Amino acid sequence: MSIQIHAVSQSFHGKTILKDINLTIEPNKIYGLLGRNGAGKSTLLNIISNRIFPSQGTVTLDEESMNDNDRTLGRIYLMSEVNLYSERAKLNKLFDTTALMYGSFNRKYANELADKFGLDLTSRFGKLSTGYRSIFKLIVALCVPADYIFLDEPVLGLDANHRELFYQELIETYSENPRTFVISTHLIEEIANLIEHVFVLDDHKIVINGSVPDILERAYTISGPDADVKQYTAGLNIIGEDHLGGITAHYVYGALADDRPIPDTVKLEHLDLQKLFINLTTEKKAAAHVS
Amino acid sequence: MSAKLKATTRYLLREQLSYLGVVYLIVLAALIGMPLISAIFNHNLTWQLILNSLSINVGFIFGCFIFILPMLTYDHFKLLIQNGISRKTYWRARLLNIISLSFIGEAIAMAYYFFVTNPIAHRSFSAGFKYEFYGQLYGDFFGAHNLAGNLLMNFIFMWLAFIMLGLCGMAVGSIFSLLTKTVRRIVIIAVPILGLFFLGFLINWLARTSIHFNFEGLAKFLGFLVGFTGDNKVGSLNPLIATGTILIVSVIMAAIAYYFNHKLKIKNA
Amino acid sequence: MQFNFNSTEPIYLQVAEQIEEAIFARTFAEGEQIPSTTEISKEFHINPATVLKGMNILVDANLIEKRRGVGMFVIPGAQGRIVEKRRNQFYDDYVKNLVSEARKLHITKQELAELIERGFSTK
Repeated sequence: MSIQIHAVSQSFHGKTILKDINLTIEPNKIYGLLGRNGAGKSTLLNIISNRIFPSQGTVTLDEESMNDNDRTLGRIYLMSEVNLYSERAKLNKLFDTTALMYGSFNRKYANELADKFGLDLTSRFGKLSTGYRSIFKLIVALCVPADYIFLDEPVLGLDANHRELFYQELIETYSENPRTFVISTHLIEEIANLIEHVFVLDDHKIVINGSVPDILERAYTISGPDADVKQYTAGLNIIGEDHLGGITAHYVYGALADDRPIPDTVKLEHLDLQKLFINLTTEKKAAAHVS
Repeated sequence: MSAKLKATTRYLLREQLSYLGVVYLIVLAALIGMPLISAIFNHNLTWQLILNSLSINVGFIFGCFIFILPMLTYDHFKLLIQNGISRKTYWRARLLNIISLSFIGEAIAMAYYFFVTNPIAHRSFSAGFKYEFYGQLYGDFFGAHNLAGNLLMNFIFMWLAFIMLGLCGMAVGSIFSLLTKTVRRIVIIAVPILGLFFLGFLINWLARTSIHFNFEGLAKFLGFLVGFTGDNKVGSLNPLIATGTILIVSVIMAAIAYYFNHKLKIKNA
Repeated sequence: MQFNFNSTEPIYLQVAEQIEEAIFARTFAEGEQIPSTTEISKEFHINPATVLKGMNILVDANLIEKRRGVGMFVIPGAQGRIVEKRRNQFYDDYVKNLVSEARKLHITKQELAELIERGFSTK
């Protein structure tokens, strides 16, 4: 019972977009898919949902191919940044169409959500602002009878109130009817505690794939006087560093040296997801060079 | 028929029937309304003028419609893949749609011809048959007096012909939907121009070359495809051979459409 | 209820600590229902599974109990057990640090006792 992404690679005009991606997406979990712009998040989601074809590799759902297969495609929904709905279509009609093709649709909840977000269902999709397009697509995503729901930049163009409302509704519907959500977003802080499992895409590869508590348990900030910090972190997997006066902070991802005592002057803390992400995905080469 | 195929077919058919209705209304308004308006201004509105305006070839309009319709291939694909419908199901649904739309289209065209156009021209039912496209070419094949049989064959022939047209459109539409907008425009402009150049070049070359081609064979073959067997003439061509041709072309076009349909993907994704 | 999350500790532990703190402060009285997993989850954008994991720590510690179909309730006597636990931890959590810091500042035992005396009198 899962979606298996097996050895997926993608290149376009000789440019690598994804390199040998292997992932398992399990039922009833909330996932975060993080990566910087151009890391290949949207491409990966489009491959999973069979909207484009990978150069190599396969995607399966419960051991059944996702390629050109109504049975598997009908169990997933991808809310993408790209709008695939016709500009001329009325929102009400789009609900009808979704219901027709997915076989069912939680129309009652959809109307309720439209009401909460202040979305007029008699308007045409093309007339909506970026924020309300996101809201409309989110409503469909939350009401569609899919087991795996992929949200690519779900809060694009939403103001703080609407973002708050979305997260609350997401948790509400997830609690009532558990299914898998994969959220790809730039706003890491907002989903850091919401996601159970995280994938980080960097440089076209998956660099992190694990449960959030496990990942954070392996991520440390080691700060203190420059020399002491350097001495303690020597040989560890330093993913970034900061300097302020004589104080140095090293960010370490991975096991610490058990046999090495922590000097009194050095402070050991855990990193949060956002900080870990930033350090893992920026100026890696420069940082590696310095250390 | 799976639930998804049923849903997709129903969606497409409902939408396309409404498009067809709009097209008929626009054509009717344009072809009938325009002369009427000018007639009213010129104060020479006669009953005959109104009737003449009504003598439109509905079958021709439908032929254009069913050929052009698949240009919406990509728009439908976008909506369907968003809703978890596979390419295979999309292709099947379109095939079913072309078959059923063509049936409806030919039924309307035939009814319009025999109940509107033909009476306006003061022709009898059986005489009218000989003026129809099918009647002109194949009318005498099954004997001039077998009206019911001829009408049935006429209907089936035109139904299949529209299906073929629709499939040609589907093949072209599927190829076009793989191209970007710019490339599509270039192709639309370039193909006729290049075609003309090629034709000019060919004629020029044929005129200057010393080799003499025998086009009789080719002409004979093409004639055969539409039902010309050598010992018959226009009016009593063999509709069964022509039907065979239509079926073969249809299968080829459906296969081309299937092949390119499977390559459909979301652009700018 | 007010949650204050920091980044250095796993969220489920923080959830457990915050609820425990609320029981200790009698914000959630004994025998009363506490907010549901979904409510806490929605309010603070925490994965319901994480909240549940935190609550289960308190269930195991005999501070709250699940009533099927209703929700989580504070077990009578829970507040007292928390007080007892905290008294036991008082030496480790506070006295050790206090003495260690006092030594760094060269505060004598006598001076420290006086300071504690002052702390009690200025309450």
